[in-house]
Amino acid sequence: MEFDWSPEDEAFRRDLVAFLDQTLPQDWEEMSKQGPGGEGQAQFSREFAAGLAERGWLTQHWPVAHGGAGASSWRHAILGEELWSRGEPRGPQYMNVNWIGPTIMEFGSQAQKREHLTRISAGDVFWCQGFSEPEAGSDLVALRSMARREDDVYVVNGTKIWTSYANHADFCFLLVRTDPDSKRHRGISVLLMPMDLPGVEIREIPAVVGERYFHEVFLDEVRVPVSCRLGPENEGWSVVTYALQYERVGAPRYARGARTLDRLAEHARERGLLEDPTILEKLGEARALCEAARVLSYRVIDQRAHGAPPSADSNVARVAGTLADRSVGELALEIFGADGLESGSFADSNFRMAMTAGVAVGATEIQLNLIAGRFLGLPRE
Amino acid sequence: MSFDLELDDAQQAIGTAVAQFCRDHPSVDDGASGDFDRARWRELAELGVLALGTPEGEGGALEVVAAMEALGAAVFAGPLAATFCATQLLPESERQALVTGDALVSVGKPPLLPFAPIADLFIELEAPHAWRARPAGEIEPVETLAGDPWGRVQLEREAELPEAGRALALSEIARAAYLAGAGQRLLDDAAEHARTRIQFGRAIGEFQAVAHPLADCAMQLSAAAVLARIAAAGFDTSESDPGPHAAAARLSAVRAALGAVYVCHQIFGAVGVTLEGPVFRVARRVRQFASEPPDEHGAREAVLELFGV
Repeated sequence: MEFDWSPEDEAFRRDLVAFLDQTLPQDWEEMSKQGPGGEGQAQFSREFAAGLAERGWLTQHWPVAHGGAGASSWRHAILGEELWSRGEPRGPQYMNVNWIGPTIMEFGSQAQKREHLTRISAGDVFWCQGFSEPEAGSDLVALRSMARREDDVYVVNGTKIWTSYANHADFCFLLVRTDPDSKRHRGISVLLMPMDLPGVEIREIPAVVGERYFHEVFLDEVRVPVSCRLGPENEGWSVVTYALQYERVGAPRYARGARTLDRLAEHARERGLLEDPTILEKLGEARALCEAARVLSYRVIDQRAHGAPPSADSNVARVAGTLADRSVGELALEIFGADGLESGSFADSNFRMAMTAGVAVGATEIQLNLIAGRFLGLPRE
Repeated sequence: MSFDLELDDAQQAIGTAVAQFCRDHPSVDDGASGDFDRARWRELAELGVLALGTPEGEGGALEVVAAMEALGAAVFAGPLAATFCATQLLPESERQALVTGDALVSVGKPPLLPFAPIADLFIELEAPHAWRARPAGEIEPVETLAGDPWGRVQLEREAELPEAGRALALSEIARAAYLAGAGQRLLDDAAEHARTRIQFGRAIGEFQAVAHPLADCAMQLSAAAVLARIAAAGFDTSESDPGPHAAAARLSAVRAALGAVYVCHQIFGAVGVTLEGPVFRVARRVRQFASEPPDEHGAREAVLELFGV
């Protein structure tokens, strides 16, 4: 048991922070308010992620053969913490390195690995996630999007919804049903679908957070080459569960929460609120929740670093992160009072972010069910 | 001494009339910034709603509660609690324009003031004191979470207004009733969604993880609504300070309504995060009513008085 960063890790964090101070544009604070999918942020991410790639930092935890440096998962965690706490200058590309790349590494063909891992590790490709459908939200396996095989193509029809970054994406990590007679977990396949194929139509759904955060993606007779399928036909569900375990702890929101709390404490001091014991207690409680989320995420990273298979610990970490986000968002509004109501203000944007926390990457209720089942062996409802 | 927690027929009729008015005059509340609808505000005033609690108008705080529960359920926009505060503070000659809806009042603590760019009257609040005031300089417009036109400006105090404690109590009671109404509306919508949204082959309301938080919200909102009524009854009949009960009602309603916002966000999932969906248009106004001046610190202290602390 050890709980400390090595001198090399600390040096890396220092170098990274210096790089961020130097690289982020003057108006970064404003630009990053719109979230990773914002137009300015997404465009900047092409330059930024390429800069990380040049320094060998973007995918340093990947094997050398796939464009990495064979560094430990902890290095990647440092990268995530520092970038997420600054509002994620990788833009939508954080998804690529967090879970799309690792899943392609596990299940992809040689050609797929060559094509996609190379582009991801170079930092110039955008992906989106085609999972949810209007009738398949928490119950993801109710998905109906259908892929009909015709020789060497799948002809895809269906609708995906709540798709972040679809407007920017070059590819979609798409879930479809390839066996029309199948039910639930069976008969699902994953397609790595180019978004520029004829028949792909994107419509924005205005959201309370960020700019162009949600989209509907309509698929009308889209002809996707069979060579785009990731993993065996009809056995996509195991690919998805693998991907989800990575996704859940991908974004260290606790790091952003902790940084926000530092700023809130400063504001509270300026407003003379630190004399109020209820504010002090809430600052302490919120900080403790961020720390809990941090160490629970570390447990998942530790398991990865030891090569252990993904477990329900990622669900635990995710729920802890949601609790932290929520308490930080609430406290921001409490400390700023009526000033926090100003649209686009620091408190307002944190509150809006917190509203999404319990829904994104699987509703909290689903995470708790998974924890109850896998950790505690409780029977299903 | 006896108990009667129900609104009487006349009070219920006010609630019904206001609810009908809100249905007939729906707001254009699409999540984007909205200009304040002054014509609609005047029409609300024509119903007599803004005169409630004044000597010229009908009824007292319980009638205010009846109207505010209905306005909350419709998430009606405007300086509602502030108007009830101001009509208590100002003499008849000055409150007349507020009661008819011809003038709007901004009540708060500078520099950020609700509805400042379109307000005709300003009242500076530093609980338990209040002053009639005027803007000292240009008003910098600020758009709020709920899309209302607020502004930043310093105020010059003109004269201290008497009986501020009582006026504040009525506005807190009004705020509590509004929040209880808005929270109940969210809860009703979420319960409907839980009854009809099918996942895993059944209505999601069949899952206890969905049902229990909704039931919990129902309990908290009921408590808040009853507290608002009790505070109002005390305001109307008792000689004693209505402040502590009004503060208890406000604190309870803020917790209950914000709790309902979070629960309903969870029940609606991603739909709740859309700008035009059923949650945000209510949630943002709940959040705004909950955070409007005065802040909660005074209310927490006032509640302690109930225990003689």
